[in-house]
Amino acid sequence: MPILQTHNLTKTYGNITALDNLDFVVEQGQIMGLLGPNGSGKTTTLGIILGVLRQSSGEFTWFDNPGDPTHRLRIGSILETPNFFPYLDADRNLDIVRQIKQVEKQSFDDLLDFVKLKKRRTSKFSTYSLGMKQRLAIAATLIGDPDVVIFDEPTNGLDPEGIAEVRDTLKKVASQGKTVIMASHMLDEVEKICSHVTIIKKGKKLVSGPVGAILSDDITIEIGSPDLHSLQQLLSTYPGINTIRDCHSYLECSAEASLDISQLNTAAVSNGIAINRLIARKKSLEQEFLQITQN
Amino acid sequence: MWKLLVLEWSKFNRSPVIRLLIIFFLILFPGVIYIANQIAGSIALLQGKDMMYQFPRIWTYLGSTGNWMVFFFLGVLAIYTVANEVTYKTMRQSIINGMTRQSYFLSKVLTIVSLSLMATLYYAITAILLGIIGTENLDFAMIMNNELAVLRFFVMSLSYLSFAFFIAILLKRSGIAVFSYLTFVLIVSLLIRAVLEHVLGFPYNEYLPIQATSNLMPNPLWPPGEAFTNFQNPKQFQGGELGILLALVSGYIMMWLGLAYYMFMKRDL
Repeated sequence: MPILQTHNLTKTYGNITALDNLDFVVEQGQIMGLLGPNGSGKTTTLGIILGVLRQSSGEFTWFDNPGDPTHRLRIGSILETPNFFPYLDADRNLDIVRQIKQVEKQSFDDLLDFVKLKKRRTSKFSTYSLGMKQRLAIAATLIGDPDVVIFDEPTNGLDPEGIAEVRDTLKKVASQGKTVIMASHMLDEVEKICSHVTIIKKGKKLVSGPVGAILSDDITIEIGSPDLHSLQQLLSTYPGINTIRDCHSYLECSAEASLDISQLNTAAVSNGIAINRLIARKKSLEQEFLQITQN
Repeated sequence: MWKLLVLEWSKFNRSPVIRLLIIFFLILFPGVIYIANQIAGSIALLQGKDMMYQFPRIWTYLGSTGNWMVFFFLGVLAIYTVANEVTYKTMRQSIINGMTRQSYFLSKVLTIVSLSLMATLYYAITAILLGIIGTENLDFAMIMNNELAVLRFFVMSLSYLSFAFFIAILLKRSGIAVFSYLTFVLIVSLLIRAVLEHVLGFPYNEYLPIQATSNLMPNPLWPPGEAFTNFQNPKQFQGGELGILLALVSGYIMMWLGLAYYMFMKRDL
């Protein structure tokens, strides 16, 4: 069953088109990464599907049920920043979320334990570090055991320790079998956590699908020589090499996965080109992302 | 509806600003009358200890004091409960967490209605207690001789708070909203009246929103030329004046809430 479907979702601010006929689908159990450069429309998309922004045109449906206004009770979400009352402690802030979610009164021991905030539960929210605020927000998204959780740039602005803690928490959430939608520009985060990815730029969808499918089989080869000019000439006609980029001291090539590196080395030497650098690696999502968004 | 009120209580009962505003309201409301009565009592011409406390005057004097207290302390409080939720982004988070815009709006309307009811209850209890202290040969008819003072106080309170709520929804930022609310009521509305009356010859200034609201609990010592006469025998509403005023202010309340609802439902949060 599709958990979320958008159809021609468009949002304009005056002359600026923030979202341009965006279509994407999130199926049950998917961990969908929403990727895009800053200003690509990720947060606008989430704002619309969460009811705080009004779309200019187009539509979306949650749980295949367009007419049900209570669908957000089944969704836990952080949009941009953790939003709580600064003069209330963790328990009281979570209790406000509980009341809104129409969940029975409960102890938050397990939740606060899960996000490692139990020791600071009686401190006011205003005294928390950014990482702690973010973790409290993650705890709030889990109240009422929602079917879907949505995170918007969950590690934004955190220090490395905070990123590690939040990422660890997100992995635990994702492993619980919930449908997760995560907007992020932390590509490695998406690569490690998400099963599917939708890449958007300037409000338009560029590509969508399983992370494994988006990541092509192509490999990246870094190859260097004192005679880069001759090396580039050789590579430009070498079978299996798709693109060549000059990185000053070496060349970076996108090549088919079947390309034999040792044969390439032999070919270079037999053409009188000494090789001083030869690295082959699988393409990262970051490279795919850059390639897709730059095309 | 009760759940929405409990939710609002959970949000704000520990807010230092809200607590301060309520404490000031609770102390200053009877406090001002106490001080005024002490001063009045010391003026020999007025001949009378506890003169302000006597029925039916207490309804007028306490009501007129409440006019200012509700306008200032509860008006600012009403703005705070909306605009600070914008600042903390808890307004948008409430929608994200699953509240419908209608129920969020309703929770705020219930808050200002409850505040108005509680302020009115406080007014009624204080007036009756002070009246019992200050009135000799008391009987029930004397207590009830108040020209619907309790209803007038409630409608006045709700009108101020609805206007404050409208300003908060319109301007969203608490500092700007409080400044605009106070400035509009204390300065701009007077300027508008002056221009309408003296430039355009508009004859119905007393029925403009702020003035009509204030007129529900008029200042018995205004205008200053009639203060001495009015002090002992405050003016009463004439003919159908009170009915018109109550209906008109109720209309203004609907207008402020209607405009606020329209803006809140349409805009991005």
